[in-house]
Amino acid sequence: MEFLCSEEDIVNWLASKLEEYAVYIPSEYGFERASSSDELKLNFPLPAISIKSLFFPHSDVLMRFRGKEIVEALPDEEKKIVLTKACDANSLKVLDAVFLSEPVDPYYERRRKNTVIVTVECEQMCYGGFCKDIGIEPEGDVVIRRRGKSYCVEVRNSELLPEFEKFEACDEGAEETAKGTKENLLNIEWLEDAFESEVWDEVSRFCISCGVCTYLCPTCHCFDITDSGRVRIRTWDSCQFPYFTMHTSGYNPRPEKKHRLRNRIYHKFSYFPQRYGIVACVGCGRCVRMCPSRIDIRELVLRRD
Amino acid sequence: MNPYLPKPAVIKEIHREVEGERAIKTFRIRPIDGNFDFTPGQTAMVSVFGKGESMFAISAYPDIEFTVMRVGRVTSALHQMKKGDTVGIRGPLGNGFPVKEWEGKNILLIGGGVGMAPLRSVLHYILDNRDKYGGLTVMCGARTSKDIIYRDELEKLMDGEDVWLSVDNEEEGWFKLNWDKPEESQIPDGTRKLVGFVPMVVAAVKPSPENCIAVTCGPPVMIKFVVQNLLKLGFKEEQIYTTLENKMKCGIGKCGRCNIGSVYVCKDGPVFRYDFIKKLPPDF
Repeated sequence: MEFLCSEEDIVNWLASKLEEYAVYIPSEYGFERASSSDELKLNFPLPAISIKSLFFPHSDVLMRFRGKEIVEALPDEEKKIVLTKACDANSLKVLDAVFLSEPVDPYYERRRKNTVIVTVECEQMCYGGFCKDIGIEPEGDVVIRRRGKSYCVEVRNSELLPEFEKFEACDEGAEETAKGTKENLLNIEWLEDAFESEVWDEVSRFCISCGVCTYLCPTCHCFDITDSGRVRIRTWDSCQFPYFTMHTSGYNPRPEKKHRLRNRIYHKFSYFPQRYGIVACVGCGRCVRMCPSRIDIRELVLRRD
Repeated sequence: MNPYLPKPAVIKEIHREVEGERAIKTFRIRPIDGNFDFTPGQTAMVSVFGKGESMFAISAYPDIEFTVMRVGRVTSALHQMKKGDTVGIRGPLGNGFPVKEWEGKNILLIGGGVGMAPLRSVLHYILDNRDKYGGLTVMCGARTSKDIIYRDELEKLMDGEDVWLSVDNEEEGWFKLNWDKPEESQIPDGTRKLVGFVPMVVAAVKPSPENCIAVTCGPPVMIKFVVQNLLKLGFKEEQIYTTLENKMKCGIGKCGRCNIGSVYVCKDGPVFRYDFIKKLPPDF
């Protein structure tokens, strides 16, 4: 069901939730918890730190050791409403596939389960972004699209329908033209026969192995587990670091930058689809914008005419 | 059930396998709650609280033992522990060997160095269920006779089973194989201790592929030439199993570091049949 609302209507709806829910809204840096209705708006930026940090934080205490006792440290459950853009909303499908498949990751599951995703569609792609080029459509419990000076609010989670029934229904015909169709430019078939290609040498030549692409990526989910004193923690890790795969013996199956960059591309566009049926990239463009060496993933996975 | 949570376990026994810089010890441990059902070939994460956890093959059956070489932070801490100390155990993890499928077949186990550890769990299982299997042949090699793990156990086993030990360098009382043409070696009757790399032992002893399953574990270069020699003897790829290893952290297919192609060694492995391994991208 779709409803025609003003920005004020939507902000008022979110404001009415502030007591029951933690409402998160993106800032330039990351997702911030809103403390009052003044902070709620629909034209928020795509934050540098992606939505994954809300469910899979950069560091997380897994357990504590007290003598011979092992004490589980699960996070508190929190009812969340998260305002986001289509790319980050889609990245949750990838993270869910990893962390909610058997055996379920209880740390992620606790943070994820009582979450309402409110996605505001972008009118155009951001610099470096390629979401629409690879067919990323808005996902979420509520999807909001601009319609002139108002917004069309598509309520996909039926539990939320009663809260919007007071609004006028959106005219569906106009909706179709607004969405339009765009050719999917994803070009990944060539990977089937490119494992030994020289392209990996060429593309990785100027990589400085900083890991920014992976830390900022909303779908990258590799992690490390380490003991720090009497606490076992999980931290984000990066497949772009040489130590990531190095055996204790010193042997390293991915010793060179080209092997590591190749693995990142294959993981997203070949291995992940084989395992979970979806591509592990949402076209947010963070890696394109933020790479200090200007390595551009679009040159590897998009059709260029 | 939190899959990251180890359970406390007590070290019941420690056996020194190899001394020296890269010492190897076998630890027998028992979870305090007593529960730990596993299949031979499965692995487990062992925690030293405050130091970290490492993945090891379970090297016995049905006892829970780990044969650990002292190389890194966790293994060094483990080597300092004493009988009665508490560690953490998480698992069993991975797939294990399809030992039920192998019933009625001849079994050939080929191990090199500490790679003998996962094979010993199969060996124990077969000895426990001896009537369900055909012939049993064990080949176990190491750099020197002092580096052969489970040596006492394997020497005792020579009375009843077809067991071969080998070392890389010449030692007194060990028969040297033909270095250039190992398949032409004339091994004297009753000799079971050979000088030669493990693949040469395979070529010299010439196990029959007839109704046989070959399982090999050891350094990658050893596995490569063992498999070549098995294929030369007429073994089919479907008759050859091995275990792969990679750096691991989660052990449940999530942390992203042990993949070979779309396969996670920790969860989908560590046991793979050779025809399957051949289809993986050459990334290991």
